[in-house]
Amino acid sequence: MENNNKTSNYSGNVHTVGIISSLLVIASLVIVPLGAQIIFGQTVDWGPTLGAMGKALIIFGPVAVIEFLSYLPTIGAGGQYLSFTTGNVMNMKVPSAATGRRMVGVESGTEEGDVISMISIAVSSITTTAIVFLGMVVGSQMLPLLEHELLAPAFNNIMPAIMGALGVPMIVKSIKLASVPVAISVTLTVVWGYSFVSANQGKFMIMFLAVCLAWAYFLFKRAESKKTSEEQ
Amino acid sequence: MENFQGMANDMIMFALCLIPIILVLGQSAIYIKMGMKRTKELNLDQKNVKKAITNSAVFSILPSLPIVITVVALMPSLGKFIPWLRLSVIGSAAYETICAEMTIQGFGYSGLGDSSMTATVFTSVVWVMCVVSCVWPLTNAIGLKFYDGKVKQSRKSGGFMKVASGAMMIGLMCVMCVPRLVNVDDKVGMAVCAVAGISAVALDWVADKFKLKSLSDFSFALAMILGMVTAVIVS
Repeated sequence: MENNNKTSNYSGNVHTVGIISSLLVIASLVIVPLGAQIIFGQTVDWGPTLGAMGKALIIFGPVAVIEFLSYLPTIGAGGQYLSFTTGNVMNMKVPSAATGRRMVGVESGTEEGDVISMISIAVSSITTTAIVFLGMVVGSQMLPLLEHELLAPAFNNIMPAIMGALGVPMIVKSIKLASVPVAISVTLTVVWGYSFVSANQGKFMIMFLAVCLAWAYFLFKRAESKKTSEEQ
Repeated sequence: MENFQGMANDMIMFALCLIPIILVLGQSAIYIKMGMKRTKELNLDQKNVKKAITNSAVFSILPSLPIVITVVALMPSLGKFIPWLRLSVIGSAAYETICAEMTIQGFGYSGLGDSSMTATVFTSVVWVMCVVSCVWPLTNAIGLKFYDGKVKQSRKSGGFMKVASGAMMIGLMCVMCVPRLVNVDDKVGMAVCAVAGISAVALDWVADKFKLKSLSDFSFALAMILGMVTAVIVS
């Protein structure tokens, strides 16, 4: 009973902190252009401004909704509140949550996994914020080094490196579960090309989440009926 | 009309940009404190939790460098402080460049990098970049508590929900990882993804076989670096 109370207090607190901090971040992001407009005495031409906002919302609104639905089961509520205020979710937050869980020996989709994901993502956010701040301060001096022709290929391929290191072990570890979705992904990429898949990432994400859940459910039910018939 | 550079690089802009960044740091600090307390309640090994924290900090260094490159690359077009704010708070390189470009072109300029942009247009760019990004935390503020409640309820009923989150992660990898492995138009990217993936599997196998916990802890970061080194070699 006491454990249930602690769990429900903790979960409630995660959401309270998350909702309040999300709303505060939203308010502070509005203060930036509003404050700049007032302090610098600028008059905004709202026609083209709202037009650009509308176009951007058409592109990114659905992406936000898809990401809202996709990440929660793997990184938990705390991890999602943090990720959606700092960004760089797939290239930084999801991998750091995954390696944090592995170090502690907990699985995603569990209470322990959610807590470790949350802590890992928070630490990653602080680290990135500090590095980007340093980058802003000494930026122009660092650029020749960061864009050196020897290092440039490494930085240009950081996403393939992260996704390979994250995705391949996951697929190999759950080969049965991954078999059908991976086969579909390979076929689609070979037939339509990577550019097409990449440009329609949002739609494919929804599609693959549905395919994976359907295939996982089929395997689950098959294993259950096999277990039942063995018991009989 | 005055050029945007004076306004964009003013210390007042720095002060305004600092507010959301401090809030984000505060949010992270609060969640770390809450999380650490919860790990003790759940009897998780504190040594491993601290290792996870160190690993997360160390792992985040390399992937932050391309973000720094984007910040510095955007500075001539948007001043010092707005790229810093945007790539630190709800940012991504793709989102920032698309939003800024659309707004600037909407005012009849050629696009990002047009140094004749006025301070008025710059203000509009900042409005668009900041306001549209709010859609992400807004979805959380509106719906995450309800959605999380449903997910937790399903988990409690056990059974299928235990495998569902693993299945969803595989789904994400089918979009983010698998296409890169067969992208014949980018052979360097293919090689990098394959080497990083095979390295991660191999390092995990070695760590497991010879019971090397430290190797297991850093296999992801090592595999990522091996992938990046591959890019340098094959380019």
